[in-house]
Amino acid sequence: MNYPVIIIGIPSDPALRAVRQSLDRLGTEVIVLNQRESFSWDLRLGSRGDTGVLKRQHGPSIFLSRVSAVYSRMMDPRVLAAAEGHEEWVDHMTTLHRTLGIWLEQTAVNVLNRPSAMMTNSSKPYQSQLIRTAGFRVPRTIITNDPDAVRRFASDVGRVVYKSISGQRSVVRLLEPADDRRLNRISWCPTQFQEFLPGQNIRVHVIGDEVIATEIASEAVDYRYAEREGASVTMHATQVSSAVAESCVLLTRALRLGFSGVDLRLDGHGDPYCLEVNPMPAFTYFEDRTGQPIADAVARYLASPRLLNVGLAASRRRDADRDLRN
Amino acid sequence: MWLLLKRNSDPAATWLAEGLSACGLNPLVIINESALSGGTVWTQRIGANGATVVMRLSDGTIVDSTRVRGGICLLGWAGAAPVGDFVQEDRSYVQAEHWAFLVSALYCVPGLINPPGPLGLAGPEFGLREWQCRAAKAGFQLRTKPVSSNKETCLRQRVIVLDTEIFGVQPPSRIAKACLSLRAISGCRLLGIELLQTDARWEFLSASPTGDLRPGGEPLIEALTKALK
Repeated sequence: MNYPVIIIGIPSDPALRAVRQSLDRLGTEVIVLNQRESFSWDLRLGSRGDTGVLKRQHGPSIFLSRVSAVYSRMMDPRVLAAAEGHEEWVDHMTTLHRTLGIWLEQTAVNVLNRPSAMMTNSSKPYQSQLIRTAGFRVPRTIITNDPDAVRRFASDVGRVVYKSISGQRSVVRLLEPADDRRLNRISWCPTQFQEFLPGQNIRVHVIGDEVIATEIASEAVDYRYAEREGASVTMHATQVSSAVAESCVLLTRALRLGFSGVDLRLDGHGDPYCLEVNPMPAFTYFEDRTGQPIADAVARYLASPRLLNVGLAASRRRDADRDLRN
Repeated sequence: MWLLLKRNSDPAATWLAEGLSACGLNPLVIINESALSGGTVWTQRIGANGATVVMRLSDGTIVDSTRVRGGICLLGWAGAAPVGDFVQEDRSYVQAEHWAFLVSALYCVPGLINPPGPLGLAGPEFGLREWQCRAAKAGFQLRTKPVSSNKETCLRQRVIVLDTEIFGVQPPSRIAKACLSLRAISGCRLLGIELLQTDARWEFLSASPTGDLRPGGEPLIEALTKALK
């Protein structure tokens, strides 16, 4: 029996919408769980956390043991409740979000991506160490609250960029001579400085064993904010060598991810450095500009027949569902 | 050099430090939470040869990760002490950045019994419900009613698991197997497990990679020394 694929998040999220459309084209049954309605959901999990029933005001109950795969792009429930203008929902939505997180962690079906696997992104230099262990080169980096150490580092490596190290987004900027007078401010909090690697930006989306590479050309230091800096950004589909592609797949697996956005910089010799791995890629930014079928690859992965055999044994599924009905 | 990272006031950690030191783990540098949260000069480097960190603590002690052979972290979490000095809008940013740094800095210290990660500096710290799910998978029975029932004899027991050995009270073999299994599932080498022994059975209460190791006694100190050497 084929069970539905669950998509969780905000339905208007471009990535979510694109995957849903691709799944529809494949003829896969999809249930979209609109996180905006989560204030009215009730979720009860079995003792092991891998089974459960989700009761909804606006739809039938879902037995979580009868799901084939999950694509999750959940928003922070506190932000969502505030955006909806209902601060009183925060407690319920946060609890529900945590409980859903337990299921996403414990369920045997494929999840893009499990919450704990996405957490490497909350410490970029920690992730950088994992990336290096997986075999990629990483830029020379210093994280310090000692201004003199930064000056010595910049003197050693040449041009330097600085950026945040947590999950909070920041704009990557070049360290300019005029910034020297502000350097004393880092004594409050260790700050990351990294050698600036000139070269080619490549975003590699890895979906299971599939690799889709995009080249990004921009004169901006941080192409994501090119327009803000009055710079242009162009993208086109590209190919990476089979060795690089394989390394990206292995790195993604090492981080326990099924879907990732690997940011590479190819130096003047074409050697790849890995800058970071995004565990929840907003891939439509690339797909819309290149026409590359990333959503289709995600949908194929989620709908893959091999996944349907994974999960609970039928007898345990029946027992779990019966217990949760009672 | 070995490290012990602990809360500022923690008698159990003091017991551990004395025991490890007596077993020959010297010098043993004790780093209090306050040192991690403020007053320390940090420099972490990451490059082709790996990662290193140098910390200059407020008492002048310098800890260089290349000279560290191992250690134990009993701190699950440490915040940024001077966060109150920042305007409201910047506080969560500073907290997130400081946490990201601590995870990375301690991760590159070699030989910590439970390597730090984004889920905790002493190994993964799950919520109670998450521990219960893992405990159920490991084969434990979960406590479903309040502990304070006067119709049964209840005894709280703390078991410490280090790799494949159990320290402290020795539970029945089925429970011991579940303890070892939970330790493996959690991804820690060192795990404390709280159990409730009743007239009829042993039930899971909670678990954590931090906490009081004293129930493990001298045998645990010796095993930790062996693991760290």
